[in-house]
Amino acid sequence: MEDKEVTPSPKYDQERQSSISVQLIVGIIILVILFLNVTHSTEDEKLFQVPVISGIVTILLGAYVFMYRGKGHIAGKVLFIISLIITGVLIAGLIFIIGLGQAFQH
Amino acid sequence: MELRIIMKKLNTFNKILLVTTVLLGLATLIRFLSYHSSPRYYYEASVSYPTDFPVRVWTAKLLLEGKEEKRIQTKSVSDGYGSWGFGDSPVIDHKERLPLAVVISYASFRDKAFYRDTIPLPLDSIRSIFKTQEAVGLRTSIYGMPEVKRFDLVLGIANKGNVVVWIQGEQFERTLLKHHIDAYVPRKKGDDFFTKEALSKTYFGKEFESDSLRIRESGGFSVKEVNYIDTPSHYLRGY
Repeated sequence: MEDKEVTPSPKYDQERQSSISVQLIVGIIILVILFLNVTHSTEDEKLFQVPVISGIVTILLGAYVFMYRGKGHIAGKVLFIISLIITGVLIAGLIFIIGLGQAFQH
Repeated sequence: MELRIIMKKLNTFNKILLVTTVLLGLATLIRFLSYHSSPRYYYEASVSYPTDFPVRVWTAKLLLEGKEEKRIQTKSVSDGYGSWGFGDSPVIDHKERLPLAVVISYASFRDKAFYRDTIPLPLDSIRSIFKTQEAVGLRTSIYGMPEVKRFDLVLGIANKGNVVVWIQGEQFERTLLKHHIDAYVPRKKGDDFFTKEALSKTYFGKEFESDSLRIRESGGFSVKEVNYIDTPSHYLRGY
């Protein structure tokens, strides 16, 4: 095979890699949701799934933002911060619900 | 070759993401296939007992194909109202694999004895009922889904350690098996009913106090104890 690659300009390559990353991240999120839902899950498991998915989204976005530091990618940063807040709220909510449930044990 | 070129062009971050995607896709596929590796049907399982022969259930579950388990509903026991041949009708929202065996342990007030056993079920006849008799299944509506047909497995706990298993549908009932269990004494830690209360001599009097009051109020025990295993279920009379 011919291996005469034209090295693209760094800026263009960065853009391209970034858009591939975005697609892969979206793919992973969809697959995680599919993975959790191909079998039947109880109410409790469903309750846990929401923070888990949210946490995975946050980690992926965090990694993305960290990888493509720089001037652009503001959307990524904004989304990361939003998802961080949402995950925090969800986990706090879950802890609250579990605590509430335990209070009603008797 | 193509794959190598693609991999070469990706940066490390994207390589990691791509590998994760592929692994996750495979894991999802395996999970999906193993979930559907044996057929699943809509059914519920519950316990029934003659109201004058109260019981307390410790363990009640079904062993399913593929090493899964399913709880047998015992609401009629905790409600203190049994009716021979009638189980509970809990809400159903998903299909499950077919059962291989029943695991049951219970205390019987009239026998003053404990029983426990694992009873194998006739899987072939259960399967053929689910496959061929679907028309006589009970109509069940599931939230947000079209109506489905289901069957109820009812475990009848008769007196003298006898147990019967019925499968019920719409004006339909088959006796799957009758089984005799020998009484047992809970001896070691981990045995069902191995508690201070259950081992004390006053257990049956205390635990079944409300039941015995109810029975006395409604005329007391009949002199001759009926052998309930020979009594057909009252289920079909309900129609």
